[in-house]
Amino acid sequence: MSSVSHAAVSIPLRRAQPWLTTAARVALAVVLGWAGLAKISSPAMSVLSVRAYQVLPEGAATVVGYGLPFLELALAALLLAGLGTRLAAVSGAVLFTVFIAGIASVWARGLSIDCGCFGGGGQVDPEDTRYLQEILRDIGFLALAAWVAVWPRSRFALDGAVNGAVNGAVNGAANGDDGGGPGTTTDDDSEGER
Amino acid sequence: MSKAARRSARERLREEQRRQAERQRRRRRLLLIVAPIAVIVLVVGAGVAVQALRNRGSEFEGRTPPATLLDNGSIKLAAQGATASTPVIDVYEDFQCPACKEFERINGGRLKELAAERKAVVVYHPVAIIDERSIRSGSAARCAADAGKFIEYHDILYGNQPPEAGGQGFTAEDLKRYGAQAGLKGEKFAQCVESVRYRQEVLQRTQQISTRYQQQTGQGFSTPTVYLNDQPLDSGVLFSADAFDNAVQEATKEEKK
Repeated sequence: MSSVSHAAVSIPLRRAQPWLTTAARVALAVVLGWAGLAKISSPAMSVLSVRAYQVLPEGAATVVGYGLPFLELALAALLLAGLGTRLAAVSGAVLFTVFIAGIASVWARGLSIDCGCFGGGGQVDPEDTRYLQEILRDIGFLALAAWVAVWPRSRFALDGAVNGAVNGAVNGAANGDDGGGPGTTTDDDSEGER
Repeated sequence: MSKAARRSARERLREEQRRQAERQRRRRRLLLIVAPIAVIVLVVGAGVAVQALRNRGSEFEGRTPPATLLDNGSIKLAAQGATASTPVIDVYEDFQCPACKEFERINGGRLKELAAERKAVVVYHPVAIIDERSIRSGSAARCAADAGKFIEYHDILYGNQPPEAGGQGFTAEDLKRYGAQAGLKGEKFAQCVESVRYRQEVLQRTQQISTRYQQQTGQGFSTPTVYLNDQPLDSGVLFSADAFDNAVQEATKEEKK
């Protein structure tokens, strides 16, 4: 009985999963791309907003301030293209975890800053801090990244194109997923039979 | 060839094909790890280099135009020949605030240059948003303005800004010593600094601009805040030499229309 209901639930979910992952990929790409672009125009401000966390030493804060927007953009591009989806999603998840930890630490230390997540940043009035919202928002993004990392197989992904030729033959294992789904696998068994 | 031999040949062939497929699969799997890592490393590396190049400060080697002490205690920097249509840049700064120091590093030299070239009138307004350390330094800068040494003192303060976290910040001793560096060696300046004579003026100014800024933008006041022709500039403009230049040029064009 239970196996029947399990199958009834999981088959539509299996069908939907590549689409859901594609949607999550695009959503994450938009978020990361937006965050990266917002910070790129002013390297000085980007460094200031990293410094405002008072976590990293001067030199490291500068490198992070310069590099972070580009890391976000690179991850956004990879997720959008669906290239190295799992790796990009895991990196994104790590990034969001670091952001959450940073904001929580600032909150705990009683500093008053803007997280600088989408540009801006630096000191603000204590009544203008938005730590809870910022953390909840990042937890949402973390959940999206985790979904993509766990189920990286998706539609419209370069991974699929790269793996496609062998996916059928090796049962989709290249993407770390069990079984190639519809669309991502091109039936390549014939190659082995020729 | 016997039947058995044919079968084993076929099996060998299949085995070889399977191996080949396995090799190909590994190669592609590797590609899907190496390619994204390469993308990330290249993009971030290039980005850090580009941002480091873009983040250079501005210096002004020429002669700074005369500074005038205004009635409200603010300090105006204007070259002779500046007219009513010259763009006005109001700088609200706190000498203890790291972001103000950063603004000064990026656009401080440019401000003097704009004033010297009659492209702008620059007005400095010392305010205090952090704490007592800001009040002490803001008031001391005002003392320096009494003696006509505001700009010199202003530059020395930023050059010696103590860390915001921890520490005593600018002490009275520091502030007097910096005064001496600017040529303010008299008793009058020392007393002015020690008594924090302009405490009320600095606090009042801070209060006024906070209220105004809040009403205008709906956001909390922070430093540095810079107005260009009475319009507050975005921080994205403040901390970028190019964006700041463009904004001033736009304002100049508008004035001329």
